[in-house]
This record gives sequence, structure tokens and C-alpha cells, in this order.
Amino acid sequence: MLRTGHIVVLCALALLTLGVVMVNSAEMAVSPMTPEAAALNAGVTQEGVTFQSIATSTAAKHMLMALAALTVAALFPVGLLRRAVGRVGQMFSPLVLLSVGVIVLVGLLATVYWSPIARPVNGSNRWVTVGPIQSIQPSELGKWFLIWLIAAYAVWVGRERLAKFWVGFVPAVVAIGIVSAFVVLEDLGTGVLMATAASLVLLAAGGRVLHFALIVPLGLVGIGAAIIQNPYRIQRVSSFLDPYADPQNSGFHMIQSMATVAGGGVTGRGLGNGLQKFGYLPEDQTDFLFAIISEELGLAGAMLTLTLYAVLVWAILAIVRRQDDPLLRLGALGIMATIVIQASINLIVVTGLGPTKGIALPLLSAGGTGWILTAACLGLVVAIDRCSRPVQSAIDEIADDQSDDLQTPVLA
Amino acid sequence: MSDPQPQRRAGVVGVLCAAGFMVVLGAVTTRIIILQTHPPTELAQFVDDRTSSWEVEPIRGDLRDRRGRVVSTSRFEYRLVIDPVTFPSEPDRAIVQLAEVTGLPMAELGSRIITTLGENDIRRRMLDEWNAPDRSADEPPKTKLGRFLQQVGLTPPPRDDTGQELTAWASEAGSPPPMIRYLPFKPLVDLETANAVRLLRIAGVSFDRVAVRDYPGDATAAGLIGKVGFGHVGLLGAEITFDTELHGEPGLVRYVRDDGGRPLWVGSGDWKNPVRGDDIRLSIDLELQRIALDELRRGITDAGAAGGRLIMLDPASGEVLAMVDEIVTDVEAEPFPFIKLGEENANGPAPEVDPDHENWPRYQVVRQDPKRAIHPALGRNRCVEDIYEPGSTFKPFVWARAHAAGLLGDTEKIQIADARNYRTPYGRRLADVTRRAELSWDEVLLFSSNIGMSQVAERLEEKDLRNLVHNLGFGSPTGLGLPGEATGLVTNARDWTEYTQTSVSIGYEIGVTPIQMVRAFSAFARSGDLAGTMPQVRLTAQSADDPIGNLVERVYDPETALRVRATIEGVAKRMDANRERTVENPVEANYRLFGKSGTSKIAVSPPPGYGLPKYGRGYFEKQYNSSFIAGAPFDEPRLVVLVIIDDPAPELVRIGHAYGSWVAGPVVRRVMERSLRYLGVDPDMPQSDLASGG
Repeated sequence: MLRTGHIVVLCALALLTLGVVMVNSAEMAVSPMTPEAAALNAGVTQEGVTFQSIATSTAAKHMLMALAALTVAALFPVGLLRRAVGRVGQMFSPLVLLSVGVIVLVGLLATVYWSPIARPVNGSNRWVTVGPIQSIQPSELGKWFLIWLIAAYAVWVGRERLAKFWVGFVPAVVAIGIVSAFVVLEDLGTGVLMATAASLVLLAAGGRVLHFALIVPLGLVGIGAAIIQNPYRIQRVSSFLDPYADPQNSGFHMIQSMATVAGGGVTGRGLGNGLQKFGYLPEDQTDFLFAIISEELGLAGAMLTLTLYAVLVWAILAIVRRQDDPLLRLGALGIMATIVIQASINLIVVTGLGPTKGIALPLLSAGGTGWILTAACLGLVVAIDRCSRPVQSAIDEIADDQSDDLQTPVLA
Repeated sequence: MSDPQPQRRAGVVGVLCAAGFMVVLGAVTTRIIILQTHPPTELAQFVDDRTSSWEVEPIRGDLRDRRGRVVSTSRFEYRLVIDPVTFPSEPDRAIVQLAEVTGLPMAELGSRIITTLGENDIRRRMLDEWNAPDRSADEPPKTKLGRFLQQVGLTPPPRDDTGQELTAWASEAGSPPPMIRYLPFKPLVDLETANAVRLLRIAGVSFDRVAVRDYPGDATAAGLIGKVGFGHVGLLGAEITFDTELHGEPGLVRYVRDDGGRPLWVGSGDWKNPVRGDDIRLSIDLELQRIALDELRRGITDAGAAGGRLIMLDPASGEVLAMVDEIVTDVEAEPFPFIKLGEENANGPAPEVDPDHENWPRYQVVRQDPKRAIHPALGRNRCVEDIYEPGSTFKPFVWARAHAAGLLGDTEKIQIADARNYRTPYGRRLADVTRRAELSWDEVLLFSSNIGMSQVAERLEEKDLRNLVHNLGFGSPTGLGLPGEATGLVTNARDWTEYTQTSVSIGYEIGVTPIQMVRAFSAFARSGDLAGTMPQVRLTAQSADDPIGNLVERVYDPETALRVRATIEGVAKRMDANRERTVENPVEANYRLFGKSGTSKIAVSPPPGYGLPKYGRGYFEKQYNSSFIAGAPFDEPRLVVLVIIDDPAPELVRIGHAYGSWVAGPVVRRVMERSLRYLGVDPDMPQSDLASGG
């Protein structure tokens, strides 16, 4: 029988496959023609893109690793995790555990400054090198870890205490704030993503809306400060408002991205036939891969991609809603929220609806760490699905939701 | 309100989250549709700007002579081009290899490459300085928000230029000069050499394909064929006249390029083949051209002249068969002392000529043409560009008009009481070379009597003569198509006096080009009903599609034309008789010629900005244009030849041997003989004449 988890796997598989193909297409290099007679190899791809070349590409290897991670995670006995978290919660104070979690996280994130393994790129400390693996983004790992930390914290403190501002809410917010602020130093987008996703988990766990209403403006001020503190972020915002003021510099990326989306037209230029990847669109294999998809596959390709995300998100949502255990439910919700927010920011940026911000499109943008970790998290969602209630009860619940009868008891 | 159930809380947040995502997806979808179907106008230029195109030069058509001999054709050669930026930075070995294979002088090759490498080093340093990373931050913000934030102090103001200073040069220029990437070398090399160089695989070495025009006909017809200039475009002569047809249609390659402008590929349908230019079959015949050149040069040498011109025309079709213009550069002649206007009383005595016009040196009458020395095609083509006064060769036109009007009775004789001191009714003094007391009208033409012609002119109305001149095409271009054609000078109706009437009848006060002369004379040389009409002159060979008659306008009725032909055959006979008497081993005359000689004074025409010197008059003294125009054979004329000998030597003038029938007539005879034989025309001279001529 097709379970919801299977849908998640299928969506992940489809997105990763699309990712591998499109990353290879975007990587394509063509040897320039020369006006001389020796132009026999003009217009021939330097390293021909064939099925074999795609199958042996780095992206394909990453995909295999991601699928392996997904499989392993899907087989992970989440019951153990639940019990372990519960047991630890009984042994230590939630605040102690939260503090330890934050310290571990910050320590993890701080590795980007630790010179033996740090690997700065373009003056930005986001990557580390561990052994043969060239570039790992600790913030990618921290992103998921924070969600589970907040979810665990919510389980440890319990709903009643979480609803209390000082003893329940504030420590969590402080933890989120510290970790996110640490990420924001190097990567505003990921920091905001982490903070938002973790906040949603907190809200879902029972944090009061009123408290959020107090905290959110603070967060916005923080984001504003982070923008103003950095001239190039101001430039990005101002060039978003008028990209054509300086099309060769500050507006370049945004204009090229929109031109890429527009260039394909409704039918697209055809797979592999995109033009913008030849040096016009920066970051075409990573953050702006969706623009290449729109250019080469047209509206249909873009719609397919968006549909896959929509199905994936709704499938995870169904799993969330069927799950009784608070930790697993919050964890799955956090995973969903992360994917939603990350995809939203990316899509908004790529289509020029928001200021340029480098953030990967989950499961599509080239990036081994991102693919493997996202796939692993989706594997966890599958594992969570496996230990949830039968489907029928979830359907009942959805039906119940749609009625106004809030008094209907929920089956345990 | 109490908190909802835990699952429900998570569910609500999840649903809200997913719903928000749907809103985002909806917005993104809408945005994509808008971008893909109706992109903003500002964006459009960035969407379309991914292809470039280059023109593929078509191969220029050939110019051929009327028999298909190639006189001008194109081929490709290769220009060595070096990109100093990618050229090996240790250039010595590469330079030696290049010099060895291409045969280009190593010293030049090496010094230019090394100098440019050095220059590029300097420029690279300037560019590095200019592109230093701290420069961009100093630029004022370009957007409104950026400026606003700067004004309210949220972003730091631009730093003072206390840091690294730009060189004064770069500051002034705005930016440093770009690197030199294109260093071409001469001379061009052939494909074989280019391929050999390519095999060396030296970085930064490439070849431009360059079209080269070859002229297999040498300089024989250079002035007529002309020359191509920069970009392989017609510059002179027939090359420019037929440039549109010769040029062909350029091909177009539209290609996709990457951000560096490098071409990536050519899409389907983005290649248009160039269309080779049409070949043009010119009317000239290289062999006739060679004959004409030979004989004209001989004529010029024999006459010790300063130059000569020759045009050979097919009177039936109007095709120009040969056209030669020679200038003798080493003739011993003084430059005429023109006065530079505005400097009449400047230092020293004003230039002057002999007041009595007796002690008259040989002046330069043919304007020197220094460009000819560079390339024969660069010179002026005096057959179409320069005018002269035709003198007696013009008489048949006027005579024919009067004859056609019945003004010249067949039996009428005119009496010239005092041929030495004749005065026209309005008192103008005229003289004849051959002085006779009594002349028939035919003899007026035969002996080229100025006095007789003045009487002919008196019988014609001024308007009649003026119309004749215009009908003969004088004063307007022939439409031959060669660049710079002169229209000629014809006195207008208001200034036309009885003096003009007389002058024109003897070929003065009218400026004509040689090409106008041969066209007009063709009226006497066309056969049958076409006699009396003028052909449209043309530079292309007649093809089956062209109208055969090639009629422009009837000037005379056929009978008149034939009558003139018959009358002036006598002139040719007199010329031949004279020739046979004075020339050693004269050419045997096999064809009946009809023609007219002319010996006209050369007008003094000051160049722009100059005036006549003291005592200077309108004409050079004792310096002449001696010309002869004739057609042959008599019944079905195939050729009309005009020969002008510019300024025969003073020694000939002194002994009276510089007349047209003395210096130009023999050239016409020789050209006719050789040309008609080449054309396979049967001789038409009666056997008795042949015997006597031999």
C-alpha cells in the first residue's frame, strides 16, 4: 500500500533526479568557435553531456549519497530517539540540556573559523574541509540540529511551562537567537531561515502567540540591523527596488536571473539549450538553478518543480498531523517548515520578487551537504510516518478539522 | 482562549505554513508566467542580447574583357595577427619560428611584438591599479535608497582619496587604455604558409582571411578597370561603376555567444551563405587595348608629345573597345607661370610670359598626375575626365547639319578673295592652312577651311547650331558610368554670339571629352537606317538581351550621314597619301577610312587659386592638341577611333608637321589596320589603291 512516506520518497527522488540533470546541463561548457577554418569543433560541448557523463558526475554521486542517507534515515528507529530524548529529559533540567545543545551547536558552527579545517571562499567563512570531503557547510547541519533541539526542549519543558514567558518561552528564544545570530555573521539567509523554522516549531509546540508578537519585532529589527550594518546588503535591497539603475553591477544578478526565467518563454529553450548558463547567470548550478529550469524547460518544467514541492510539503504535513508523539511531530514540522521557508526564499529571489539572497533550493541546487542532509531529514520523516497511526484515522482527523466541531475527541 | 490540542496546534501551524507556501508558489507561478509571456520592457534587452552576428564577405565577381579574358579577379590571402596578451611571455623562440615559417623580417616581427608586450605590461599595471578592490566601494551609491541611507548616515560616506592614488594619466582619461589584443603584420601570406604557422601551435597567433584583388591584365587597361580600395570595395574605374553587381550579397552568421563575447554555436537557420558577386563582361577587348596602347605610345614617341589619348568604339553597339590615356612624365617643358591669386605684388617681379608671344618656350600643357606613379588606376582618366577643344574634328558635325538643311548647294562654290586676310562679316580675322581662292562645299571639309566653315555657320541659325551641339550630346555626360566624367562646356543661349557661332563651327569655344567625340562621330559610322543616330556608349559587352539598335536619338538623316562619310574619306586619303610620302615603311592601308583631323590650340586654364600671368592669353602659343577621328571600314564601319596627341614637339610645330593628320592620323591608321585584321574584317580597299599604296 502506498503510504504518505512513499510519496515523500518519490518526490525527493524526482527532485534529486531533476537536480542532477539540470546541474549537469548548467555545468555544460562549449568550446568557443574561432573565426578561422579550424572551427571544426565549434559549438561542440567540451565534455559532452551524455547519459554516461551525467551518471558519473559529481552531482550523481551526491544524489546516490543522498539516497543512501534517505534510506538509512528512513530505517532509523525513531522510537528509540523518542525514548532517548524522554529519558534524558528526566535526568537533566531542560535548561541545562538546552544550554548544552546551544554550546554544541555554536561549537559546530565555530569550526568555520578553525583554521586547520576552515575553507573561506570569497572572504566568507561558511565551509570546512574534513578529510576527503572538500566543502561542508556546518550551518546546513546546524539548521536541522536546531529544529530538533527546540522540539526536544518543547518536550522537556512541557506545554504548560512553554506557555509561560520567562521560564518556558524566553530560554528557547534566546537559544534560537544565539545560534541564528552566530550564523547571521556569515550568512544572513541561513540564519533567518534557522530562526524562522525553529520559531515555527516553538509556536507549534505551544508557544503563545502573544509572546511571539513581542519577539517578532525584535527579530525584524535584528534583521534590519544586519542589513544596514553591511553595505552590500543595502545594495542588494536597493538594487531590488530598481535593478535597472546599475544593470552591470548591483542589479546584474537579479536582472540576469529574471532574464533567464523570461528567456525560455512558455515552451522553454529545450533541455541543454539554455543560453544564460554560459557565463551570464552567476551561481547557475546552485542558488539559481531554478532559473535555468525555467529557461530550458519553460513554464511546464517550472510548474512540475513547484508541484513536486507542493506535494512534498502536503505529504509531510499529513505525516505531521497523523503523528501523536510531540517530539516526532515537532521534528517533522520543523523539517517541513525548513523546506518551505528555504524553497520560498529561493523562488522569490530567483524570480525577482525579492532582493538577491544566496540560498539553495532544497534537493535541486547543487551541493552535496545540502542534498544529503535534506534527504536524511526526509528519511526521518518517512521513519516518523512508519511509526504513526493508520491512515484512516488521519483522514478522519482532517475531516474533523474541516468541521467546526472542536470538541470531537481525538483517537490516541 | 485555551490552547488547542497539541496535535491540533502543530497541525494548524503546519497548515498555515503549507498554505503560506502555496501562496508563495502561486505568486512565483504568476511571476514566471508574466516574465515568460510579457517581460518588462527594461528586461527585454537582456533577454535578447545573447546572439551576435558577423558578416561573411562574399567573393567579388570577376571583371572580364569582352572575350572572357579575366582582367580583375579576387583571391584570398592571410594576414598574420598576434594577440600579445596570449602570446608566449618568453617570446624569443616563437618569434624565430614565426619569422622562419612566414618569411617576415625577423627584426620587424620581433621589435613590434616585444614593444607591444612591454606596452601591455604598463597597461596591465594601470588596469590593476584601476580595478583595485577598494575602488568600487568609493563610488557613490547609484540607487535612491543607497543615497538616502548614506544621507541619513546609516552607511559610511565615501572615503577620501587618501588611499592609493591613480596615476595622473588614468585620472584624466577616466580609465586606463585597454590591453592591445590585435597586432597585424604585413605582407599577407598564402594559405600554405598560414597552415604551416598554425601547425606550430603558438598561442596568440591567428590569421585573418583577406580578399586580394588581382589584375592579370597588368596595366594595359588599368585606368579603365580601376581598382578596389579598403574593404574590397570598388574605388576607381569599372570596379566602382559595377561595384553593386560585382560585390555580391554578404552572408550572415548569427551565433550564440557567452558572456565573454566568444561565439559558442550557430543555431539552425542562422547561417546565410554569401552570394558571389556577378562577373561583369566589360566591353573592352584586351587585345585591342594592347594594340591601342602600343600604337598610341609609338605615336607619342614619334611626335615627341607630352601625352596622348585614344578611344576605340564600336559604333553599332556603343561598346568602348579600348581606352588609353598616356602622359609622358619626362617631357622637357616648363611649368606655366601662373600667378597665385592674392599674391600678385608679393616679393619679386610678377611672373610674366613673353609679351610678343614669339619667344615662347614649351610649357607643360598636360596637368601632371603624380598619383599615376603610385598606381596607373589612380590617375585621372583624361578620356572621360578632361575636356579639350576639338578644333577641326568638329567641322563635319556642323557641315552635315547645314548640308541636311539644303544650305550647301552641290555645285555651289565659294570665293575667297584674300585668304591671307579674310574677315568675317562682323570683322573677325580668320585664316586657312590650305589657301584656295575657290572652294566647293565638299572641299571646305576636305581642306578643313576655317573661312568656308565660318560661311557655313553664317547660313545656320544660332539656335539651330546650338540645338545640334546639344543633340550630339555635348555638354552632358555620356552615361558611361565611369567616375568623374566631365560634362563638357557649351556656351549657353544668352552668351551665344556670332563670334561663338563661328568658333563652334571650327571646333572652338566648346569643351568636349574624347568619349563625347567618339559617340557623336558614330552618327556617321552606323550602318543602314541607323546612320545618323548615336549609340549609347557602354562599358559592358553587349549581350543577347540588350536592344541591338541601342539608339539614342537621331541627329542626322541617313543620307546626310553617308554623305559626310563619303566626303571625309578624302581627308583620310589625303592623310594616307601624306603618310606614305613622309613615313618610312608605312603601314599598308587595307581598309577605307573616313575621318577628320584637327589641330586645336590648347586653352590655358589656371588651376584653382591661380590666375593668368602678365601678357598671358587664353591659349598656349604654338602648342596644340593634334587629333584624328575616323571610322572604318567604309560601308559597314566596325570601329571608330579617336587619337589625340597632346602637345607635339616644338620641332614638329616649327616645320608644320604637328598637325592632326601628321601625328595622330598615322596612329589611327595603324590601330585600324591591326584592329580590323584582329577582328577578322575583310579589307575593303579597292585593289588599285592597294597597289598604289604598297
